[in-house]
Amino acid sequence: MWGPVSYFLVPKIFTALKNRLIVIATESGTRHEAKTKQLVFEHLPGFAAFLRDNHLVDYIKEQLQISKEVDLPLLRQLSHISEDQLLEISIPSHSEFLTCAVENRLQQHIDESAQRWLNDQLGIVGREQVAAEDITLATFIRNKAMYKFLPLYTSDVPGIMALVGEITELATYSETSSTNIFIQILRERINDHAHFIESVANTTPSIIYVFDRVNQRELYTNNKVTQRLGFTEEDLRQQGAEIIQFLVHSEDVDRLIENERNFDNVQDGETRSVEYRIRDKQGRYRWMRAYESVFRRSADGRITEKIGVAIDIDEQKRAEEELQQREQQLLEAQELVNMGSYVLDIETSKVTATPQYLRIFEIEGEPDRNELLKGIHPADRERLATAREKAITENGAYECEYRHFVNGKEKIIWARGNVSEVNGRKMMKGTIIDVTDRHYMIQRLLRSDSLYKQAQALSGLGNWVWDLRNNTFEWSDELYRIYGLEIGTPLSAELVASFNHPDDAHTSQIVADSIKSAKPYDFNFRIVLKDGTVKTLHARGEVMTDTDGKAFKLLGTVQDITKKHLIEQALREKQEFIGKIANTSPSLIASYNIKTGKYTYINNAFEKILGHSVEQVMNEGMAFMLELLHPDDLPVIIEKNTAALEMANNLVAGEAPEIIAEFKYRLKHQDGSYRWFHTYGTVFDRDEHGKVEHVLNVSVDITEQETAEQELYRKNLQLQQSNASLEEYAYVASHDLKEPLRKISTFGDRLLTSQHANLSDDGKLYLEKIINSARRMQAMISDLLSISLLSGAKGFEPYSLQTILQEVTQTLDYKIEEKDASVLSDDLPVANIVPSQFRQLFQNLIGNSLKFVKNGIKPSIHITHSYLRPSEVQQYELAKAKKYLKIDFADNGIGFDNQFANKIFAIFQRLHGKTEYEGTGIGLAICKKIAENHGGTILASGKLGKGAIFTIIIPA
Amino acid sequence: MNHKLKHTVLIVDDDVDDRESIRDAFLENRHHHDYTFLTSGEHLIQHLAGSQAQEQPSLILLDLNMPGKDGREILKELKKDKVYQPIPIVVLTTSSSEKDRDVSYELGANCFITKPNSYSELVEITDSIARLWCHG
Repeated sequence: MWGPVSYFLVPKIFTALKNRLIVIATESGTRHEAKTKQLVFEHLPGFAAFLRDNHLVDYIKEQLQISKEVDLPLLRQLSHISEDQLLEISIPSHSEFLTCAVENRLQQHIDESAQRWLNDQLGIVGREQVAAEDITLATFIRNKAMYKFLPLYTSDVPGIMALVGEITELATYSETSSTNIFIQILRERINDHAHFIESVANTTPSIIYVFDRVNQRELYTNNKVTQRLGFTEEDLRQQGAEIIQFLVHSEDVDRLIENERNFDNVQDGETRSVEYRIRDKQGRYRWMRAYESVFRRSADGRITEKIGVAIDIDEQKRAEEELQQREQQLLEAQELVNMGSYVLDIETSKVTATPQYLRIFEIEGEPDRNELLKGIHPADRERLATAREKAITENGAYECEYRHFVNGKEKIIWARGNVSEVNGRKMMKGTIIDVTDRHYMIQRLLRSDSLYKQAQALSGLGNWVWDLRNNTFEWSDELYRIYGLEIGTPLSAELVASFNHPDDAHTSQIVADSIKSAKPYDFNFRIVLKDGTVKTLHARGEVMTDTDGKAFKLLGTVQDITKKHLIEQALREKQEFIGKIANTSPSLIASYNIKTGKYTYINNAFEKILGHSVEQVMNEGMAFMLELLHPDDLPVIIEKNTAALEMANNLVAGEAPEIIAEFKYRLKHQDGSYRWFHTYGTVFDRDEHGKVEHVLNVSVDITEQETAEQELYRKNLQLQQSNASLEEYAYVASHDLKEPLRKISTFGDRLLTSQHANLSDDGKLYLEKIINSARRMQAMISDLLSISLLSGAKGFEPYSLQTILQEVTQTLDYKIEEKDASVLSDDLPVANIVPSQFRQLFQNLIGNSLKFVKNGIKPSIHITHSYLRPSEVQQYELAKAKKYLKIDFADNGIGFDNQFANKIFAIFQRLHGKTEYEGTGIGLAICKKIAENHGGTILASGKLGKGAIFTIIIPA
Repeated sequence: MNHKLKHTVLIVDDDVDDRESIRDAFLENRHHHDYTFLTSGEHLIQHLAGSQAQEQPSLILLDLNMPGKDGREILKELKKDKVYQPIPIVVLTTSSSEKDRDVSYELGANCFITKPNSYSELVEITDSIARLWCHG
């Protein structure tokens, strides 16, 4: 490769040659004519003979002497030859010359010599070695030498004049010839050089140009321009002064122009360089560096032409840029990582460091090794020193983490270094990282790593890497767990694939497709573990491709979504199930958005029950439904609905039951008839403000029930009315019936008393019988009335039976005292009863016991109670209850034959004659009615002559 | 008893037998007072309105179940009226209903007696009544 030196010389040669060329060219023109003359002398041959034969050596010596005096360049060239040698060498040529002069063959001789010179056959010197001065001086020397010996030959003045004239002629011819030869040689040399240079210029990959500074245009440029840039010389010359703007990158133009302007003060031999980008014909820019030097100066010294060599440094430049960038990046990276680099000269202890290094150690200016060493924590010094020493001795590496005090702060430094020999010097190159923060972060990292593992485990996420090149797998711990494999089990593609669920054949295909297309994948698939467990996994993978776009690595995550999957599945199944229920249910199930009035869901019961299509309802929404509502029900529904919504909106979900409303209303069937519905409206969901957004309505078709209910209600009302009127009637009837009887009674009585004297015994008897009958009838009517009044469930309340007893014993106080009876009881409980009725009951039973007493025995009545289970009262077919209260009324009266146990409860039933015991025989019938009224029953058991026990059983 | 003052006793009953029986009962015990028969509630009101203030009766025996204005209403009216409120009213009725008894007392009746089935009882009752309200 050509070095800059050659480039330096080339312009020089050019300059010299060109200058010479001009000079010689001018001179050769005049000399040219002289050549055609024939060289024939009259006098010279004689003189030449004289010289040759008599004074040859002296003649030569004389010439040599003169040559020395005039400092003939050629002589200098032959300085290495001794004088004697020189003389010896010179004799033959001079001798020959003189002989040719004698024989008048000088022209021939000179021409031959010239040719020899041209053909570089001079012998002693190379043709190049002959300088221009040699030619002129040679003639002078020869002339002078000849003139010296002239007087020795002749003293004849005309003869001398003639000889001088001939010598001069000879000199002229010889000089001309030599000059011509010289010029030719030069020319050849120039051509050679030019050729040489041209080929150099054209072989060098560089662009060579000559620039005319005066006219600001290219004078010459080598073919490289065409080759490299695609322009022709013509293209460039056309640009003229605009050449720079044309070729050079806009950013570099100014620099070039500046460079050109500053070229004025360039010295000869000095080279200036400038870098710039030029464009090729296609418009692509490349970096060039041009070395420019002076090519030609004007007469006043101004540089008129410069020659430049521009080399393509594009790659180099880009490499430099990249290197700079990389260096910058490296520094940046180092900065980021808080890493500093250094180079330590072991011998001199000089440290060269990056800015980051200085920053870490908070050093201003040059780092001082000794100062740095002082900062090391004393406890770490030895360790660090040992490591370093080892590295130095072994030309190896060291790595050490130690504490370093930096301006009072303790930092943790991680230092690494490498010792090597560079040019015989031991150098340590290394990096230091300030890991103070990291030291504490490591703990967090370890923790977070375990957390990450935990997170992976929790989310059931596993990582994997599949290197396709060597078909190896890398699995995270979690992934092993998911597959139920022991962590670290050797893996292969076959093993992994063997887990795939047989029904999920697509798994392998999806992965294969992904590899082929180098696209990521995301899909669910099932695996079957060794123990048969089926898991659902969600896999996401990415494909890494090489520069050819071919996949070489797969990496991804796998998540165990079995639970989630199962939950979703369960949810879906549930939804389907619910959907089925919703659609098979005979109820109307609908949910709608109360804000928009649009239905979000309607089951197809709508069609079944109302005959309207689900689509119609969904499309027309609430408005349609309102049309279906019975006009009578509409205002109530609207009012109720509004109120319910308001309440629901004011309540917070969970605070109150979500049933917001209950309505009964009629909807019009498609056939025009109305059907009754009982609707439960519940809050389905609320919006973000807690306001009700969707309402779910479940409506049951209660048409049958409703009509039945209404019928029932009507009938009930009728019944109540008739009951009421019946009661009234009964009351009035009984009252009116009793009236005449009372009259009979009172007047009979008056008759008996006032006419006592006038009546016979029979008369009195008959009258008494009449009165008694009337009284009996009154009693019966009263009893009938009271029994008829014992209907309905009116008046139930929790009431103390003990209190009833007390009240009744008070009423019967007189009779109890009269009979000297004792009424005893255990602590009777509270029961749900109609107090008035129970008073009647107690009165009747106790009254009976007081009536049917055994003579001579003090009557005693025991009232006791106990509780029974439903199983124990099954036979009596009582009203349903959880438990039953049993009250026993036991007396020691006359009792009765147990075969009549049931009979005695019949109405007007008497076991004894009318005259034996008073009473209508309705008392027990009333008791039975009362017991039955309370959902219970009454039982009797008696032992003739011993006593009777009456048992009441009622739901407790 | 012969020297007692003569009281005015109003017997209000739609039944003629009852009216006479009551009077006779009183007389059996020589309670010789002025017994005025009134056949209905309206009649009573009329009578009271007609008589002068000084002639306010000492006692009113009132039947409940009468045609026209019901005895209970009459009772209520009289007992509400400041003028007639002080007059003792004994309800003497065939009704043995507890309800009637309670209502009567609520309305301000001074006594509630069910007409007995025997005359002798009636004589006893009227004797008690006379002693209570027609004394002095």
